[in-house]
Amino acid sequence: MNFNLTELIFIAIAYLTALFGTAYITERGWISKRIIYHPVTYVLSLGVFTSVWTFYGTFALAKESGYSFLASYLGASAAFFLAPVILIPILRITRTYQLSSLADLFAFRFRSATAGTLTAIFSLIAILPLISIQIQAVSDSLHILNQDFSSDQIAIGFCTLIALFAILVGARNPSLRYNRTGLIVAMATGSLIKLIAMITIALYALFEVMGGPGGLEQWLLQHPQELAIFDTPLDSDMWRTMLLGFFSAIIVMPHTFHMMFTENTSSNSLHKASWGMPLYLLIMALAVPPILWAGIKLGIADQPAFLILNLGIQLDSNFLTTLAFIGGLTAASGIIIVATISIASMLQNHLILPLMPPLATQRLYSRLLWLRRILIIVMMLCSYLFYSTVGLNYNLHWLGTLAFITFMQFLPGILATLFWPGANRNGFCLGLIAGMGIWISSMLTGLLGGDTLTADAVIMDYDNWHQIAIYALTANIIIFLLTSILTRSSQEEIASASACLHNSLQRPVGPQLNISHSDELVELLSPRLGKTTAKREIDQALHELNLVSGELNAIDLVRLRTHTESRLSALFGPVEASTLLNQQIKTESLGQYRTRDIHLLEAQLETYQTRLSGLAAELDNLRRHHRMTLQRLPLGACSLDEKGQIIFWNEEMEHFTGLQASFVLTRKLLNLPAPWGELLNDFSRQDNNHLLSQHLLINDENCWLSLHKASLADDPESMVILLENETDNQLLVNRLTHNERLASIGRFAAGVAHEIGNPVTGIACLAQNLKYETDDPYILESAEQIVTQTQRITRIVQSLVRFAHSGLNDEQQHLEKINLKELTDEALHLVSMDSRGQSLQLNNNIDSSIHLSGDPQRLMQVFINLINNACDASPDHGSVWLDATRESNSVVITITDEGSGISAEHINKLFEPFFTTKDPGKGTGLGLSLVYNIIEEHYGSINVVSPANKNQNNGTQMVITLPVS
Amino acid sequence: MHFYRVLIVLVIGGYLLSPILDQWWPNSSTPWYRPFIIWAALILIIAILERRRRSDEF
Repeated sequence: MNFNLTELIFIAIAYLTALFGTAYITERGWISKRIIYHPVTYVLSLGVFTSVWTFYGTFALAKESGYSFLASYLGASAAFFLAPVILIPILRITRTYQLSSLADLFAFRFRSATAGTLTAIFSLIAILPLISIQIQAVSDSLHILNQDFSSDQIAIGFCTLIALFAILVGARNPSLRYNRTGLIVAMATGSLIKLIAMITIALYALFEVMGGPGGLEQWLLQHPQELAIFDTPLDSDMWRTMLLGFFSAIIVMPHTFHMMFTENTSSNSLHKASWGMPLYLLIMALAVPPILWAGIKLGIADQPAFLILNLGIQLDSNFLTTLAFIGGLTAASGIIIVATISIASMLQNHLILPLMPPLATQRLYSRLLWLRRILIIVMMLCSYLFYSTVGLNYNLHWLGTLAFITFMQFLPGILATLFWPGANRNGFCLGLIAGMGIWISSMLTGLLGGDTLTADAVIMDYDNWHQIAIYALTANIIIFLLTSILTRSSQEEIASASACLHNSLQRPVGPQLNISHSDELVELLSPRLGKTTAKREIDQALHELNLVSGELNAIDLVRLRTHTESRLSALFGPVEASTLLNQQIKTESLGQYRTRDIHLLEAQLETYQTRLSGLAAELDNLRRHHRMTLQRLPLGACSLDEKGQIIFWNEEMEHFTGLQASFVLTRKLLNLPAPWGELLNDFSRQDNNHLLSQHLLINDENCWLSLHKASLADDPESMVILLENETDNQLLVNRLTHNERLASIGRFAAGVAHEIGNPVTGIACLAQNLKYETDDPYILESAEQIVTQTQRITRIVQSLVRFAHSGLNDEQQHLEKINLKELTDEALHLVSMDSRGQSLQLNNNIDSSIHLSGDPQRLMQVFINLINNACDASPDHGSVWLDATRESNSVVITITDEGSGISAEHINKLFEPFFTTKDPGKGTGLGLSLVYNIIEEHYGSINVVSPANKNQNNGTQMVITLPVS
Repeated sequence: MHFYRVLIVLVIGGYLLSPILDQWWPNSSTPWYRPFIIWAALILIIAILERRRRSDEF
């Protein structure tokens, strides 16, 4: 069977175009978001792990050493089974700090550019054999299908195509964390194709070649030697090494790391993958034995690596052959594309940018993109060179195994990142150099030295290759441990370590910037990034945080700084991002908890509650309880830290002052708006710990409050302040005092009236009698004067008696329905009969439909009093107006005059007994007190507006509010 | 953290004891697909545990 070369090239190009098409239409939004973000899509995209090593090489391993082939599947599955402990925490760190590769992660954790560079270089060294075997597999499989052309030419063509595709998919946005859904969907499609190909071929082998499960059992019974390979006890050391190697590889290999943590940001998807990915691997592994045995039965197992391809050729099935070829092509292209993109970003961030820092130019983004494109091409070139000089000489599955095992050296670093805060950069770098050094010098240099298949035999017949791997790992771990214990970690590294720890909360890890305005951050970045780029980055960060450019409070500044560092990290990697932001940093203490951090921690604890377990959860519950107690305290409570900055501001405080906690937190008391700033600041500085019934005018309303404080530490600035609103109490006390005064005046008035009444009556009688006793006109006039004056005394006494009786005769109050218009008309009529009333114009604008319930006689007294007062105040020929408006439950009646108005100091005393502004002898000062009392008895209120006419600054308006019923 | 330390001890223990499992697998009296059944059972357990995860957990 010989496929036409054109056909094969057409299949390959059609497949890769379809893959690119899938990525393209995904990014254009033509595929439903439900499909793109479905966990199944994500799990399938992780299938990029199953490279040609799994698709082709695994058959060779199964044929040679039976169940050993399961090590790669089980090692990878174990990593996913432990997802909640290992993968999810890594996702949390990479997502929070925008880390896009393993080198970024280590550079961030150990705050060391060297750690990042070493990781990038070793990842490149380890991935080259892996990419080389992909190129080899595709070339060989094409060579099997068509022997007419040189596999070298095909390899060049394949590399070019893949480089082009990697650039199209992976180098379109300068930010590495830009969500490339296209790549995820394309890789998921590829994995689906691999799965379908494997299942179809396995089912075909099982049913068509072996004659169904029964036939397979029969064949195995007839050929016990084939099953015997699977029965051979495994070399336990090798098995364990492979298991550990694949366990580490799936976490740290550039392509799997990229798919798991850079492309994906959903922890839910990763949770689903904890069983979804092992299931995918199980199906892929389950297909291996039937296909292998079918190949053995058909006698094509002498080249086991390409058994799956030869199966179709042997059975003369174009369909199966094409399926196997496409499956292999998918497996190879997937890993090469993703690994190339990932390694290119590592090299950019950790090798190129540290050597050639980004220049301040407007074309920064496009330069970054071109740098990445060039790196992808260089990567493909290196892979091709490795393939043509070394890879060609070795077996596919052994070269693959060695590459996978190399990644095991990163395992100590990953575990230390998650679980050991004591690890430091010296330990990590030295351990990695030692481990990699031993492994590379003994294995990979052996590969480079050999140029024939005999060399392959020499190296691979090393029965102890797995022991060397374990020795290298042990050396790595021991040096890592010892160096970390013996050397000191920097403060910055300790902060970074605690941010990476399992269950830790996000804290700003860098030093704080001494800025207060977002534009200052732009200026800080401008020298290195260029003004335009710096402004664009900060504006984007502000937009994503829902902040506006300008003066920012401390918390928002910390958020902005952290977010900007994350964004820059996605562009240049964490090391460069940190350097950019920390240009002006002087030494500042990092080890201490800072006020700002407390807020960030609290905000995060609120959302991370369910992640806490055991003692931490109990402590958090306790914290919530105490916090809730303080928050819900019916007293205003605020606390200050040692710098005098506000660190707590409860709900009652917010309610009473109208200042939101988010606004006041981290400010100093003095910087609060008036009147709070001055009041609280003065109180915090005074010696006395209590300030009682302090009067304050808030929004033109009288308020009374009491303040209490207590020191929280030895530091005088750190304290808790309680604020008690006493306005209601104070108003009640004022009212009681007023009522008490009225009552005592009433008692006094009644007594005076009683005591004065009798002698005055006597004097009046005597004066009357005197008129009959004499004809002397002088005496008669004197008697007349005495009678007039006694009448005046009687009137005063009567009004005193009336005042004394008001408020005491509720039960006698005669309530009836009153027409307000009629009542006020009558009052006006009575007043107009007075000589004063006759010279004024009295207007009653009250609507006749308004009715009230009340005592008509007493209300009449109110209106007569008020209209009389208005008349007295009015100039000659002035006007007095009566108006009323109906509200929902009340009637508001106004009596307005054109008088000179009442001065502000008199308004407050207006309703007090015996207060009058009239000339002596003209008024008793009891009229308005009486009015006040009668209105109160009717459950209404009375207010004074003066001046009523603001333009002319004259006139007085009495406003009476009475309930309707 | 306590919970995860226990888990790590179990994982390392399981890893060290895994060769015993390898020696048991090739027992000729067991069908060839036996390891796959155990593997599938493990996936099922993990899937059930994952479904019981609280949705607001990170």
